[in-house]
Amino acid sequence: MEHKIVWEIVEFCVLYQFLTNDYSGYDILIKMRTLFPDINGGMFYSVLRKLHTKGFIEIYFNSHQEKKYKLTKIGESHLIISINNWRHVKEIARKIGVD
Amino acid sequence: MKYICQKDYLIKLKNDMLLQFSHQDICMVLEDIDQIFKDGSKDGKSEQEICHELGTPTELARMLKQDSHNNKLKVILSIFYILIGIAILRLNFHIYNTFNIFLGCVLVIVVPVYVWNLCGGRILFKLQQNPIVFDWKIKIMVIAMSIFVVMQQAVLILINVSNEIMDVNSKIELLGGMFYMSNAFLLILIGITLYTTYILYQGNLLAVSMLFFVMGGFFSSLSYTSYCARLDKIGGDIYLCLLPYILGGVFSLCFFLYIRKREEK
Repeated sequence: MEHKIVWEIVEFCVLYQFLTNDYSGYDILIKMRTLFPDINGGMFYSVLRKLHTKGFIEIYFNSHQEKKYKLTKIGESHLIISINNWRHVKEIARKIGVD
Repeated sequence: MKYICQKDYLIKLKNDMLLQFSHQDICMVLEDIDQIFKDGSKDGKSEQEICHELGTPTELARMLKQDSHNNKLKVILSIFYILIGIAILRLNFHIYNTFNIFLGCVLVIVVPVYVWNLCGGRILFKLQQNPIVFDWKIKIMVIAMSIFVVMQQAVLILINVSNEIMDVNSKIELLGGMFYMSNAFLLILIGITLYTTYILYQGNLLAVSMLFFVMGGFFSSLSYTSYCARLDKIGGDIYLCLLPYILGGVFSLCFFLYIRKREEK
């Protein structure tokens, strides 16, 4: 259960990164490692693959032939729902006194 | 376990993913990880640092597995193919009383290709991370096998050339010698096959070339032992037993040249 929650949070965080920019697998690994230093780096790549399988992000090659990931329309819709859910959870937490 | 370089990491990851993921998935993951190593290197990070960032290959494979379809079918199919192979061999001995050379010729090609596929050879090809390592162990194996082939053929020539001169007892003695020699060679070849499969599994592509050569020796020796066991069958056609040797040798050389050419590119 604990693992599932961590996975969901990491998935949300990774997807959120794509809202503003496109990233390579390495960029995501480095960004996430600074946010979650205790989590195995392999997890971020696994999450990235899962998001790709679900169709939330897509692959393209830039002018330097580097593999990059970008958010898809489905990914964007999913992210909006996730952000709303997150706000809802935060609100409930605030109501019960968790800062 | 610490991974000192990118190649070790990728090979270990391939091995951890084998039989659990499709070849396509493994190729994709390895290409991505390879890219991460390249990007990290541009960023000034050492291979060891990137290995540390990624965590162990086993852990990575385990995490990827959580979202992948389990590829148990491949394991079941492998066992099924092996059982069919054994059944065909058994049937072949039952029908012909000797080992069919033409079946041997087919197996000289089929077995290495199958083992190559099972060990992720296609993935290794795609990775292009494996320079040809013609190390001393392979050299010794090739030299030892070549010496044996020459010895085996020398005995055969001796039997046929001295057909008129030799008495029956000496001929039987010589054939018996060849029979035991080939049987002992078969046992050694089983050991070499297992070792070659292991080094292929560890990422040495040259092992496939060696495997063709070993299989040629294996099926030729199997033909010789089955021929020698039946003295009445000894005749001019015993030379046909050479066919798996030739085929294995030719494929071995072609494959070696092919991977060398590929590496140069």
